[in-house]
Amino acid sequence: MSPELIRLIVEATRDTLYMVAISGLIGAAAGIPLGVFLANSKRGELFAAPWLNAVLGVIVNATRSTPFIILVVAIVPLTRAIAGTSIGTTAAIVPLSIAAAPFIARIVEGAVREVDHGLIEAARAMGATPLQIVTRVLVPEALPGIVLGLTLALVSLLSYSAMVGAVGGGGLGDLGIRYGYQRFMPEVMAVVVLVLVLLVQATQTAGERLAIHLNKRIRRQ
Amino acid sequence: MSLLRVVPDLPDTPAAPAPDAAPAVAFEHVSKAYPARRGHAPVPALRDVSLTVPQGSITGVIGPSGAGKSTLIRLVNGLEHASSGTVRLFGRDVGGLSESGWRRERRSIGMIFQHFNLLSSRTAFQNVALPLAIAGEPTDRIKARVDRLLDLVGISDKRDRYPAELSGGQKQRVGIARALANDPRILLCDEATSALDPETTLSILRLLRQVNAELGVTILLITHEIPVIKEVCDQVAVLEAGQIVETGSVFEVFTRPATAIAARFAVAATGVDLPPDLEARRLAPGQTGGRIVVRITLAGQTGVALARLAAFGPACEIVSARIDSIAGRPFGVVLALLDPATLPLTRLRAALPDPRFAIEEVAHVA
Repeated sequence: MSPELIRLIVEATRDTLYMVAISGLIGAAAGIPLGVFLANSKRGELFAAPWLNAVLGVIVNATRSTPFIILVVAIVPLTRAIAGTSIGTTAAIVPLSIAAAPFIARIVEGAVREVDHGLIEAARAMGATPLQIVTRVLVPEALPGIVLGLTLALVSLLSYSAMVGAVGGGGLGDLGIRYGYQRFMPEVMAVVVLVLVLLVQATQTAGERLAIHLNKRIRRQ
Repeated sequence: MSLLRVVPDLPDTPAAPAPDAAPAVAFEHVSKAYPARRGHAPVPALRDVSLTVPQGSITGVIGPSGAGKSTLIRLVNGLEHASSGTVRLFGRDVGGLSESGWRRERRSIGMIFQHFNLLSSRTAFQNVALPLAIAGEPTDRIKARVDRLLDLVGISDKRDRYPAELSGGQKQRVGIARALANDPRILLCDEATSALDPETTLSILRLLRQVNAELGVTILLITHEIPVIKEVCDQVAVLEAGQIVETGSVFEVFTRPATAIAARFAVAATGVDLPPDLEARRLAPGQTGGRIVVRITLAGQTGVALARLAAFGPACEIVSARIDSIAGRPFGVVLALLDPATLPLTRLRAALPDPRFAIEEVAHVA
């Protein structure tokens, strides 16, 4: 493989990591609070707002049920308004973030709902405010589950980021399509796939290790 | 070990409540119903409950599950609100408190739970520190206070352990330390020993009594376990189907129960009931003849009474007996089989004239 191709692959990997990292951060910044709210806003819960809960639930479901490639195309005007263009790695961050946020929200909601209700009651009995209950009880207790969920979200983002290559998003997917497929260079395709597999493995392993480290429910001596 | 030495920021002697001091908790005609939901009628949980918890006392509420005990105890710290009636804490009506008012109030009310409700992500130290952090205490004060509390409940060596690494008894000790962190005047115990084995239960109850005696903390506990009431409570209320059916000193309620449910608890507490073989030989009401089963209740002077019963020899056959201490006083129940031909009931009564000895006929048997 020529040094030129190696340079392309390194650049594409860097672009992919950039897209996944930024959209993961934005997705988590929006998805974690949204998930915590969804987990606590049904009737009789900490931030009871059943109507808002239902509306947000519908929006989250709608976003999650739209195929990602359709979502990318459908929100092109929004992407252009935010990023100034609809082509390139920075532009790809917009649809990736919008896809990641509801995904992360549902995972966080599930993890927070797993927290024993008795802990919320104990915190209320101590005189904690709802915000203190979230920051000092719910999120720390749900953290191992949240970390595993974020890992899952990052892995999904890696595959989504390859898909934005098809619509001019840059990164490994773009490289694979343009060189591996359109220019018939199967060795490029093989390397792209290999790099993606390695990235997924690394992300998954790191996420699982962190989650186990954070999970104090496991008895260790 | 004295608590006072290890908790120096508490007064040397707990202020003894003045005789006219308002009760720590007073329920006045309190009712609570859970609102109707989708085609279901409202669920009444408590009906016209009146109960006072004197300052410095250990008051127990006993009842079967579903009697409304959990609802009752949660009215004290505002986790539930009464539908009607008045709840007073130290004389003050708390009916109108807002949620933020309750949050302040709750800082002077500790609570411990059946399943401990410790945060799994925090060590013993960090769990005890939580209420102090929530109250906005400075870190150095938190550290000093938490170390003293862990020492008080006897688990300083488990300071940096996570709950998963602690036994049930150790977890409840962390729970007690956490409940005492803000220096509460009342400690609420929600089935605090129901998940523990009998031996651990006793050690936790002893700790509660120590906390009550040395820190002067009023304790209100709910339980379905008789040993808990017998071991620590000064007074007891029996709750059944949302109503208080009996209330009084533990000794009175368990030795002279006035209602059927209290009698059931009393039988369980005193452990004496008609043995099955005698039950089978029982004659129908109205039929006489045969032998008489009497229940002799001994409230004190148990040794004297037993000696006199023994002196009757085979005419008074003891079939079942139990001597125990209830609320620190000796108490005995003896079931004896009398042959009325050789030992009439009047002679038995004459031999045990002390009013603390109650003799009653239970049954005639063939």
